[in-house]
Amino acid sequence: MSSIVLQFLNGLTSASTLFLVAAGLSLIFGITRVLNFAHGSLYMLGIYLAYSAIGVFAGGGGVTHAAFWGGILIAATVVGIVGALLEVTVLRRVYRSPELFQLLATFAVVLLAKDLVLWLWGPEDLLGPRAPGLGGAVEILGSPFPEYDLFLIAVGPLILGLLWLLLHATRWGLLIRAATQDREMAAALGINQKLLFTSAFALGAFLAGLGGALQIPREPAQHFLDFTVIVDAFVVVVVGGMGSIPGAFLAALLIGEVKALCIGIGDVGAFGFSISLPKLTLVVESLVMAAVLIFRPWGLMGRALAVLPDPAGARQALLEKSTPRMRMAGIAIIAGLAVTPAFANEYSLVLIIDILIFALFASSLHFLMGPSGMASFGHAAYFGLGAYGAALAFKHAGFPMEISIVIGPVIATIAALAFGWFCVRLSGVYLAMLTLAFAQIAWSVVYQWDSLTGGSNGIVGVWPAPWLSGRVAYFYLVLVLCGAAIGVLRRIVFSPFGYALRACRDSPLRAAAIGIDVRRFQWMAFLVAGGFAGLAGALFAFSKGSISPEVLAIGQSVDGLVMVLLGGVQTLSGPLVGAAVLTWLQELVARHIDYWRALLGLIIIVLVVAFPAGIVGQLSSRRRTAE
Amino acid sequence: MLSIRSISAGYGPARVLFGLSLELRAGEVSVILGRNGAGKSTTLKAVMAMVPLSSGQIWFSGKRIDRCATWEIARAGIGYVAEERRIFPDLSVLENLEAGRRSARGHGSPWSVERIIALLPALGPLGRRRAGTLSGGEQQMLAVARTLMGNPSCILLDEPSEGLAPAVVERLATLVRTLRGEGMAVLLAEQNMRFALAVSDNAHIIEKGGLRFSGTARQLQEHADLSAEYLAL
Amino acid sequence: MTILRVEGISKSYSGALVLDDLSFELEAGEIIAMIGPNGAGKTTCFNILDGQLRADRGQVFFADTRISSMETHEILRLGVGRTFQIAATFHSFTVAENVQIALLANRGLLWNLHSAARDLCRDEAQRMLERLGMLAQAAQSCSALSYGDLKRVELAIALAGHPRLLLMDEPTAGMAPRERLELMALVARLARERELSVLFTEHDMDIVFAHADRILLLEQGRLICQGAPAEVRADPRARRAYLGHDLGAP
Repeated sequence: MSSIVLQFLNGLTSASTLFLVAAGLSLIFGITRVLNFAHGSLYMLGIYLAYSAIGVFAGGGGVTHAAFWGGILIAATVVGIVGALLEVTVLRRVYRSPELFQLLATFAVVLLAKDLVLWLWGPEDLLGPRAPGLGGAVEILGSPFPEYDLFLIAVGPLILGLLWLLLHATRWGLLIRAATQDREMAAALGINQKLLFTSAFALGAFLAGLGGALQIPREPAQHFLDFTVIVDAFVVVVVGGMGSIPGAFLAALLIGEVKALCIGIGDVGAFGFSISLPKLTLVVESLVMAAVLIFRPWGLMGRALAVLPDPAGARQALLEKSTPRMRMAGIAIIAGLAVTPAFANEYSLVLIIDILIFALFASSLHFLMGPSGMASFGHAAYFGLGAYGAALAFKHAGFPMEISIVIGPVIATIAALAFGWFCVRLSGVYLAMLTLAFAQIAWSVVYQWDSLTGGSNGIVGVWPAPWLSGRVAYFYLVLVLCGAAIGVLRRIVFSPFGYALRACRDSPLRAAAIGIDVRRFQWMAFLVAGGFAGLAGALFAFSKGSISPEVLAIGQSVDGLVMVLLGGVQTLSGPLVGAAVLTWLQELVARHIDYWRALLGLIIIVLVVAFPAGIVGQLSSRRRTAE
Repeated sequence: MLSIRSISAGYGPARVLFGLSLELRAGEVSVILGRNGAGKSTTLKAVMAMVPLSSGQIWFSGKRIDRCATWEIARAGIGYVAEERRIFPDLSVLENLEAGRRSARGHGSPWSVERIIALLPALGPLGRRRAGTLSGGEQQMLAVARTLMGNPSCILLDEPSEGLAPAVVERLATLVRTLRGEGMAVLLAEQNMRFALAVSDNAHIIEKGGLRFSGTARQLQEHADLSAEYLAL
Repeated sequence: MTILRVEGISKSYSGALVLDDLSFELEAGEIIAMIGPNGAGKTTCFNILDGQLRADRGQVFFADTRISSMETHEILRLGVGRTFQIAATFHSFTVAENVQIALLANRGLLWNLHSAARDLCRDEAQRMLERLGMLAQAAQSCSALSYGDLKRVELAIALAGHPRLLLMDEPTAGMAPRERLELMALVARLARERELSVLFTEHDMDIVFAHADRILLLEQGRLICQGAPAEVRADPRARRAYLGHDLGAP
């Protein structure tokens, strides 16, 4: 009994933090319609800043009330100011860009923030001080419960109340609510949107910073908090309804309690398996989100969003057809690659193998995002399942490598079949977030199913068959398979099936009006993209000899996104160039420049602001104007 | 006061206006008549920069406004009441009015909630109601009132009589006459000819995105053939 | 033969009745215009006919097949073509490819992952474009066309499915005046040639009276009068619907 009560209270504690972050995210989305990927980074910044601010205020002595609370307030305020600066310098320039570019811009901020935190605070976990006066525990039903957690439980409703007052009792709040309901009409009444957007962003950032800062006595400041927090916040906002603050509160409670319940229940045995619920919180969380999205596509308290006018430039250009010159260039590149082993050293061969594998991965993601028009935040799921499928078939089921490398993509295709069925029922940001949720499910299953997958250690000893074990032999295998797969993908794009997918993307209405079953085609696109990503994953596993859950983590999905967007969504050669550039940057530049991620972030921001069509897109449009 | 100089505009590749010109003087009520699809709403939206112009200029009080943002145009003194009313449905009636409030720009006595309710007594008892739950007529009155709270010197009304009961239309007519009495310039877009001619000094007929007739309301009434040709069947 | 039979369909959105017990029939080869003020329910009616919306009550039959509970793509496959108020085309393709996709869809050839789509149904698409006077633009990108030409492309797409019934929602909206007459003359000619039935909504009365065999007048979701153009023109109810309600004398 007492443990259930305690778990319930734990749920409330985490709900408070979730709410602070999600409320800011929701507020910003409601008014600017930008999904701020960097919100988790703002949270992380909050916790680091609080650590330092309290340290400075406390000097060498003990942590006084003034130092602690002053430090937290300063940290949150600084994060708020950072948010305002972000809005003015980056986001304001991309409000009219396609959704995907807005996401990429905020994602670039994530990269910048990550390196900033590493640079300023170093990689070690930083443990903050306890809150003065709240360091003890109270006894609840015979068990101790931290006082500070009780305080946090109160913070959630308190902030909800304050936000409610701010939104309902001030003119600023009134204008925010008005503009959230009808942005265009608000402008027609003379409401200055720039100020409103900047201030909403500042408040949202402040809340995220506060959420982070308040965690300082509970958990150490760590440089990977940004991803964990943003995924949770996405789930909460989607479940609660985009743009609804009470919805965010309700969803935070729901998710917080679901998590606590999983931990409270512990291990469950069923069908001879022992499932450890505490380890699968993320799975349960994502299942809740998927269920809510299927039955209430706009979330618990959300409503269908008013359609904003088409951003300029969102229209897709004609797909390039290979000119004789391009075909020659392609043949030259393949021929060049084929003779590389003759003069390349071991190190560059490994790099080229990586580039080839990621070129296939990026091409499969591009197939989904470009011709099929569905942005996926979780493409690593298929890459990773392909890798794990192959590795498990090889290590556990004892299949030979040649068969295992086929089993990988099959597993990935089956996953795409299941995930895709749900995803094609949604569109836009919602679809993207659902793909992310499914990827997180896949990740946490792999990460936490120790007995099968080896957990965080992964699987080692995944080596190719003897006849392929040499670097050069494996290089040729990768070259042939990836080259063929990319060729097949390209052929599909220009086949009737590919035409149908592009037709569904260009105008779902028109496509249905000529008798195309839009969802079925899109579902099939998931299968194709998932299968090819799985092949890339399987090849990756055997090229490294070992795999870890990293292969299906968010970072991997994001690498794919960056490759595709770097090269340009509207071109077929874009993802290849993007994969080459990013892989090369990661391998080479990362060795010489400590903060290469920040550099990449800056490059992305410049690209998104200056060339929304990507590198290759930019080149080809320049070529077109030149002609 | 408001001068629309041979503007062309449309939505994406679709063209609606083809070189349309109109003038509106201070203290004057003008109506744009035409069947739907003729370009009436688009004209008003073009003034508010809610539809991009492909050519032409718009001037207001001696200032060129066709490059301004919507909110700047509103602050320059043009009020806009949208065709679908577009009140903020989740806000209360009073909050809707508050959202429209802007300080007065010198001329005339400024509008306040009290003055609005004196003019539109029907809104008085509705103050705390959610605007989305109002009837069509009440929403229309609220939409006008909300725009008045911005103290505009010129007001654009897009099909205010659409879907309203005759009695409500009559109240609307009184309201428009009162506004004119206040020295406000009013530009109406209407399909309801009786209402339009009852309140207007001047009338313009547009069809297929171009001007077909411009003159006083009286002239139009005398030319029954014109109205039959462009407005009826 | 009756090609389309609408039996008492009603539809309301959040309490407001948009269509109120609407019934009408369309004979093979007939061209009917549906007119009425904004908000009369014309577009809602179209969206129910092509399966994008479900009627609250009532049924729709296409050549004796009940279509009122079918999905859009199923209805359209039976031989119904549709154009939209704002022309919907596949803007990342050339004009010819737009028509090719429609032809391929009509023949169920889209589930093909290996052939080059560009070479399929090519000649037929060219013939179709020739009919519509668009052959010169066949290789152009749809995003580079004038709006009038875009409307023609949409018409070509709709006709590629060899429909027996064509639903056109404001076929001439957004076009320059001269283009409008040409487009509708073309539709009328094609309809006669192919024994195609056409149901269209339109605000341009020149076009309505020039081409409709029969007119349906809707007001606030109700069919208030129907008949041949001359009859509707003479009907006082029609005059009132367009000129507005009675208001006390000025």
